Amino acid sequence: MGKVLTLEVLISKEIEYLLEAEGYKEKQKLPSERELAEYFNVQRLTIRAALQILVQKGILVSRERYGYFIAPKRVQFSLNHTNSFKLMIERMGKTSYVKLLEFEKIKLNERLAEKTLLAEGTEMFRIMRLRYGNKEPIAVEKSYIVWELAKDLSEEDVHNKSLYETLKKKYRLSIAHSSHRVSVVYANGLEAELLKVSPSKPLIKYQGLVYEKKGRLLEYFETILRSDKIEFIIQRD
Amino acid sequence: MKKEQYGGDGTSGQFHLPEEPLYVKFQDIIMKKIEAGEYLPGERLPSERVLAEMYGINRMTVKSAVNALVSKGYLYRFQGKGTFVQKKDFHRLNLGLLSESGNLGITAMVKSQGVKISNKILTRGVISGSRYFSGKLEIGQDDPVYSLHRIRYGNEEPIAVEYTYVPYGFFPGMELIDFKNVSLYDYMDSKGQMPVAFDQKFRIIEVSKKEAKYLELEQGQVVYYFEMVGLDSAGTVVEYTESYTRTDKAEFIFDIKG
Repeated sequence: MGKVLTLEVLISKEIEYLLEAEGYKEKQKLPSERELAEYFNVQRLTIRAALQILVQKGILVSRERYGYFIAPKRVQFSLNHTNSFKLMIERMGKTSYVKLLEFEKIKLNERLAEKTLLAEGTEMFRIMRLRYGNKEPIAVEKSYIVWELAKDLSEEDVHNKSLYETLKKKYRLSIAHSSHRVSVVYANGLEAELLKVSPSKPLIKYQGLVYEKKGRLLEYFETILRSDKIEFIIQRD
Repeated sequence: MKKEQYGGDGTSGQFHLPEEPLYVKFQDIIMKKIEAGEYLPGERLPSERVLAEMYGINRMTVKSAVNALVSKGYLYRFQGKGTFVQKKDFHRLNLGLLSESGNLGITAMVKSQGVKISNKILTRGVISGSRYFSGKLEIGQDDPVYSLHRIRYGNEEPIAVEYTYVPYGFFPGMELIDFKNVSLYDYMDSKGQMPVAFDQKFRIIEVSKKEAKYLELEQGQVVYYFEMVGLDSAGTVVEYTESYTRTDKAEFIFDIKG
């Protein structure tokens, strides 16, 4: 196979192949280092290095004296649709839900005016929700909806309901397109508390501008996600 | 000396020549070669002396044509290194994630403006017999896979490490391409097999010792970890890439329809 890849990298890929091919499930235990070394006909140190690569990638977890296990599955977050949380909830069933934290009417400050390209002082609904996945808090969502487009929006409309469904049904506002940005940030005190992480932990910041069919900006959102619990996926059509 | 006057943008407006001057014709030849993908973005042009010999024309004519193409932005000179074909959009970090033709996929953007992207090749070559890679590339287990491992730099600072694997059968001779300067996608495009649709997965992980070294990070700092399969317009898998990207240097943007 040449020296393009080191043996431990190659073995780690072969283990990955086996895990996929054999359909290993999350939290399932792997064969021991000794068994794997025999199977691949390599030294145990090579197997250990290969397994370590997979631990680092978040595919496996190692427990001292117990061995290696498939890591708990991350919450998969599809980026194929603007309303991806809704799809995620459908897939995850009752283990995903949202808790409404704040619902208020505000006027756009300078920072948000810059983000949305709307005039400072534009009236908006500010909705803050805490999203749970596998019964753990995974995201703090701040959503700003243009008041002018959905004047009668109420707390009931967004309480454990899809905001986009409500906007569609009640206001005939359907989403045409949205643009998104993903970066890594560190938590502020409130976010850390809500997500139950230490403030030194990196989090994912996910921002988006959502436009309705007539091309008007409908929503600006800023979502802070647990970086260790989430995986983003995009699949071809 | 007179010939050098034509070296500008060719619109001096002094008088109309009955026929296009030779350097303009030669300029067209070079531009056609760039458009045809014979000279790829980032690739070095033969020296002016060699070009003059190749086409049997005066070296000054070559110089004038090259000057004109430099001022038009098709070529650029790199002191002491020669003349290169300009990259289409050199602010965009093409981390093997970008679909230039549409809005599929995620684009990595370097956070600061005016960053000059460069590459370092860690290792490259043919491998075979890996069930994992042949599975991802949907080729036979013993079919050769070309692997290209690169560090991408922005203004000399490491931004990403990319481990790319392509079916060698589609790209015979790719070991001869200078991927330090030529973009992989420009090359694949020139072979008619550029990825245009993607299956992508990404998450945040703590950087391993190996990638920490490449990216000049401390162990335990986080990186974006990407895995992606790229398909060409016919739906054939042409690429599998795993990459690690520094979170302080890059962010990801994408558009969604509907």
